[in-house]
Amino acid sequence: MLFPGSSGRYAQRLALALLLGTWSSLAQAAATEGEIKAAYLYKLASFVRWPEGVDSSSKFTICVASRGDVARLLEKLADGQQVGGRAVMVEQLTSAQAARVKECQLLFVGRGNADALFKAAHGLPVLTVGDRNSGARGGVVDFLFRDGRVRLVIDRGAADTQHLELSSKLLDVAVTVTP
Amino acid sequence: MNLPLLQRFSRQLFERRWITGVIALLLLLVSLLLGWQWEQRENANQVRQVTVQARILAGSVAGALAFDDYQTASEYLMALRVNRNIEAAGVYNGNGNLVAGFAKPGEKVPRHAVRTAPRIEGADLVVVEPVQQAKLELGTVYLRAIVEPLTARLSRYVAIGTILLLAALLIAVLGASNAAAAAANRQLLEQIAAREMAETALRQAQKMEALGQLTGGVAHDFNNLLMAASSGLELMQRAKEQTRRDKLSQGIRDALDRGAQITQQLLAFSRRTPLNSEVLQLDEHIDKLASLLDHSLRENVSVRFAFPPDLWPVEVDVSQFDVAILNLAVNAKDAMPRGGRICITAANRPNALDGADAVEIAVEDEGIGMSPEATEKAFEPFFTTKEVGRGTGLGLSQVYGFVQAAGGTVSIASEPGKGTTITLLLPRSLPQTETAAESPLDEKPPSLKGLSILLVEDDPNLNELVGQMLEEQGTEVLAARNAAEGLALFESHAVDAALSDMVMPGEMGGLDLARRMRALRSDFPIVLMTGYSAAAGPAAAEGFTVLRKPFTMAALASTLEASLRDRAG
Repeated sequence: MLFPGSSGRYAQRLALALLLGTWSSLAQAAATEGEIKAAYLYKLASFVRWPEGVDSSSKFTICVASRGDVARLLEKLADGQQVGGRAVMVEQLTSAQAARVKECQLLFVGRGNADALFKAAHGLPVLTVGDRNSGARGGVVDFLFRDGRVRLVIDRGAADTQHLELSSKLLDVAVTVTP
Repeated sequence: MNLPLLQRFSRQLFERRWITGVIALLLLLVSLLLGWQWEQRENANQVRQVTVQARILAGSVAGALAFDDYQTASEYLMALRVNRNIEAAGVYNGNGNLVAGFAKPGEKVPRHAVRTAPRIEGADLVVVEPVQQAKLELGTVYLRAIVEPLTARLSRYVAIGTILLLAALLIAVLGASNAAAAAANRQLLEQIAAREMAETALRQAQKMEALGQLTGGVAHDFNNLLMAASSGLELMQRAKEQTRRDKLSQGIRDALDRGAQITQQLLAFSRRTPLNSEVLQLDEHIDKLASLLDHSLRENVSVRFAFPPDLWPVEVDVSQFDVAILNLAVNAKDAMPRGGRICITAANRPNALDGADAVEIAVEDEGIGMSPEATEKAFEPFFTTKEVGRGTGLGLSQVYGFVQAAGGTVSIASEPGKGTTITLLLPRSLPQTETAAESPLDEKPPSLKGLSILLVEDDPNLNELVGQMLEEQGTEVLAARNAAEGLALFESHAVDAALSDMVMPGEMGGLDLARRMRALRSDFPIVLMTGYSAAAGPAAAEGFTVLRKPFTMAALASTLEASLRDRAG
């Protein structure tokens, strides 16, 4: 097999890469932290499958709490875009609006304690995304800042709880995968 | 149905040089076409393989591209290095920038993404595939793989190509040589045909030469006879004394007899004479032969007979047999001018004649012999080795005709200075016709006087003459000019016997008339006259009495009497 799932086996071969690393850091360096997170949130949707027939909403709603800048960037990114045949909507939430969580397909808590909102989403088909460096630890996907880059921590148990199916490609790029 | 077509085709195939050349060429063309097709398929196959690899890579790096994990992307890419055919590979992000890539030494990876359908670049195949995740465009992957170079592929085909070329060459060479052989064969057949035609022409010429000799000889002999007869007749008219007239008349008679003899020999040679075959016991015939030869040979020539007593009988025309032996003895005598001995031997030869028993009679002399050329022509009529005036050249022809008519063979063995042996083989007579010899000879022949005879003869002169001959015998003659007239007279008059010619104009011939008359009166005596007729044999076979022309009055009378006696008895 040319492409085994495990990446570690090819660690030695990394040294052989002729063109590597420099461009990738350049690419990320050009974007702000908010832009990167907005782009990742948008792209995440493509690697996750929501259970079918659970909600009949014609929109794909991305809810953003405590990060207005990310929400605005997302709105720009997702303008006119679709996820799974549904038009993408971006909503802003406050921690007090836990009741609206069930309208979200993707919930990003950018700062502060995310527990209240995540608890509200518990068991619902909502992809919860946290940001542990900003105190909002938790969620199926948790942003982590490491080596100057934004990385993903994946919680597969949480994904099961939310009835979500994650693409193996997503697990490939995760930093730590919590079972 | 197709087989002859196929045969004709294959014959043409091998007779025409160019066809095999065309076939060889076609073979080469077809193989080239097949090779080209194979190449095309092989190329398409390679494109597919590389495309599949590119797609797998694109699928694998989707996550890495989406979340800028270029290290993971690079890991996937590096895995491709295992494949030696891949010269360079690259992964590009959504902005079209190279994020991971590798290239073998001397190769390069484009810095920016390109969008292209699979294409050949020099000896390489380039495939670019988009990276997508759920319709989201994330970037592209780039693969450049070695397509097997043309020279390498050609060298792969060299071996089979050489074999093919040799096969085509072999076909061409075989076809050419076959065509050459066929042409030679055709030429040979043409030559054979030409030679056969030449041989036929030669045989015909020889036949014509023989015929010329024959007619010339006959004309010569007959001229002499006619001269003798006409001069004799003229002299007879002038002669006053009865004795002189009788002598001249005898001379004319002799000349005519010789003429009859010559025609008999000619007929014997042409095998058209009706044979008076009888069963002959050769050893009992020696005495007669000896006295015959005594009169014909000189005193310094002796004859020795060696006939064993247990000889098989033969069925021959005895007078012809006597003449044949006489001819051979005379030839032997002439071959021995200073005298010598003639040996006439006979022996039984079982299975000698096409498996049938035969009796061999050999006449051997101690004479001068003959050259091979003379031996070859010895049996031709009027061929003679004797000086002019000593022989007619009909002697051996008579022997040949006699032996042929008897169903036997004759051969000649001779060498100059060593004598000549002529050997006759006559078929053995099977003992079934022994009663034929027992005829009541002592019975007095019935007189013809007062009998009514029907005479049918188309020649007016002969009709008149034969009529007179019959009247001389005291018979009453009813003369008819053809078979139909004869039949009418036969039905309207009470005739005692009929004498009819065989060959006559009209629908009915003599034999037909005889059959009709016999059908009406089965015991009616009929004698058929003929000088020269192929029908004489069948007539004799059907039991009619055949009288050969020319005949004397005595022969006519005795034949008629015999026929009347047979019918009465």
